[in-house]
Amino acid sequence: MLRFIGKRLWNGALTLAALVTLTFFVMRLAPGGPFSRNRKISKEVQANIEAAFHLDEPVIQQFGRFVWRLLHFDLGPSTRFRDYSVNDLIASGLPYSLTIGFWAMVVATFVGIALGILGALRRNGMTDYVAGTIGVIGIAIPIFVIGPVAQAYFALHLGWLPVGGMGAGWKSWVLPVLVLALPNIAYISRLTRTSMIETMRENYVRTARAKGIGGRRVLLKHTLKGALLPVVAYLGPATAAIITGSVLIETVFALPGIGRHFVDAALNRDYPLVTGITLLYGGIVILFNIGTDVLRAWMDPRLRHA
Amino acid sequence: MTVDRMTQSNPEPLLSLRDLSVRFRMEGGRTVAVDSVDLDLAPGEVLGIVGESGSGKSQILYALMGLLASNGEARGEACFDGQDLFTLSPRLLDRVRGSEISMIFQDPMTSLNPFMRVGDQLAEGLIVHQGMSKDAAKAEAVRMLDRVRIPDAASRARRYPHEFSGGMRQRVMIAMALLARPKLLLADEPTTALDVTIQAQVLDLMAELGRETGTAIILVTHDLGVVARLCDRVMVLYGGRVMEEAQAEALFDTPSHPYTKGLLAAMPRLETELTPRLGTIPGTPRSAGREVAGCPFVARCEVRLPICTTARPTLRGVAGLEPSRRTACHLTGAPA
Repeated sequence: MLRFIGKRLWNGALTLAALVTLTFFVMRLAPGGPFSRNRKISKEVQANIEAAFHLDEPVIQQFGRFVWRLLHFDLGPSTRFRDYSVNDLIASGLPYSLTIGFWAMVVATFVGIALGILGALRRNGMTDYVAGTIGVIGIAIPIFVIGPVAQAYFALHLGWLPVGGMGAGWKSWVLPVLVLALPNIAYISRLTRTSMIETMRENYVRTARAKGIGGRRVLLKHTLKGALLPVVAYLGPATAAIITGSVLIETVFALPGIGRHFVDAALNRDYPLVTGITLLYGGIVILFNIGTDVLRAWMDPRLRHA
Repeated sequence: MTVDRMTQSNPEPLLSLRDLSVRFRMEGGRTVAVDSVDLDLAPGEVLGIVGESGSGKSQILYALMGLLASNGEARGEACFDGQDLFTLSPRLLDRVRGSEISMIFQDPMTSLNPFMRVGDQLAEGLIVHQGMSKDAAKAEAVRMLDRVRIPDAASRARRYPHEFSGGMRQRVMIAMALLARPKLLLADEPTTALDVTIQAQVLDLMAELGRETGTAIILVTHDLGVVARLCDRVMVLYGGRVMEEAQAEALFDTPSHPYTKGLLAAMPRLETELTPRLGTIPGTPRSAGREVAGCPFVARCEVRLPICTTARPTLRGVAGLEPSRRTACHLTGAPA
């Protein structure tokens, strides 16, 4: 098991290195730069600015500088937001995205798995229909529709919760977390239900029933583990995606997360910020994939030798 | 070896099925898989149920274990040790399953839980049924693995099923089934999925352990060689109905039903001189379907009479054969 984890970590490090190289060069392949503007500015000013950000150096030298800074966890200065480093921008936004994403995923995992299991156990029962309806709504209707509808009803009509922003303590978190959780509840409950039904048909579950150990034990000891493996495989990447911020949810609820920075940075050709956020996202994805692999290997002994 | 144990000392049968039928609800009607089967099994007796694919032989076992598919339904009476298995509540049925009646399945590769150590899977039944402590149950499991000749049983018990070969997994299944010393063992084609070279080994082991624990066995198979090797008595099933029933030796010596004769002719034998080709039964097996008026075998029977398509032959004694013989054929017994 330790060897397995070590191997996965090493693979992760290699992937990250490849990602660092790719993001750096792909950014610079795109035409234009952070300071190309339609408005004419004097050659001297242009040269000064570029010198300040080392954009006048050969690309290889820029890459060396970039990697060197990276090794010191310094993502460099933003070319768009003066006086802010990329580190500052991430540090200001990430906590919001992390918190909302984390809670949304906790809610989605528990509610989704519970609905999925109940639906599978009482197929075509009441719970199954409720879960099915949530599934259709959550998957078919995008966040930017559900968000405003929820705001209109819970914030404006009932007045229970704030419309947006972060000014109302815990109440500010409720709507964004639930709205962000909904598509995942839908997806996880569908996945769990299908996987449960499939696992209940497995021969080894039949063997367990033949042992006369009781329905509860058959479910908990023999069915659940196999049924949850595909769900765990989905949870890793999904969590990585959700905690690194959602532009939609941040826009709808006016939240200061990092999702918006990513879009803004790309539009502004803010090289350091784009690279920084890409690396952050990539790093988190890699980390969660390793976590998922390890968790799955812990659950399924057949995967340990892979 | 093949003494008629039924007629000998123990008149009280361990299991007695009366008018057992298994039906499945399907799109566009019902399918009858097993059609009014009667069966008596003495303690310690080994009964073979033989038939082609789709003859309903496995469904008899699943019905007894309460493991029919969700659209299946068993009718009739299944009296085991004084109680009707079909009327037991799920809780009471669970007291019987895995402790008094065990089952071995066809495919050992997929019948063990891949996420659980083999030793734990064996111990589980003892812990639940007999209230044994974990350690005692595990020690018992290791002893049993040793009995089914798993080498280095103590350390093997800590391994997972995927680390075992197919033959070893079936031996593990046998160990698991016999661990509780059940009165009845149901074996559903236990060697079909195994290499020919280890089939005999696994079967002999099962029979040997069964004899030691005094366990009665119902062995479902399509392999007549297996039956000849292990069984006291044989029941031949076709289209969900019993065609013939006899002591194993007698059946092989003097088959009386045309279907049994066809089956035996299709079986290669070592002792007879080489015939140019094996016999075949014309047509394809009748798979479970709607109830028919006459004999289910009529379409493939080479000696059919006009009455065979209209009247269902009943299972009865055959003139000139041993008294325990029962055959369902208009041609035998009755004057033709």
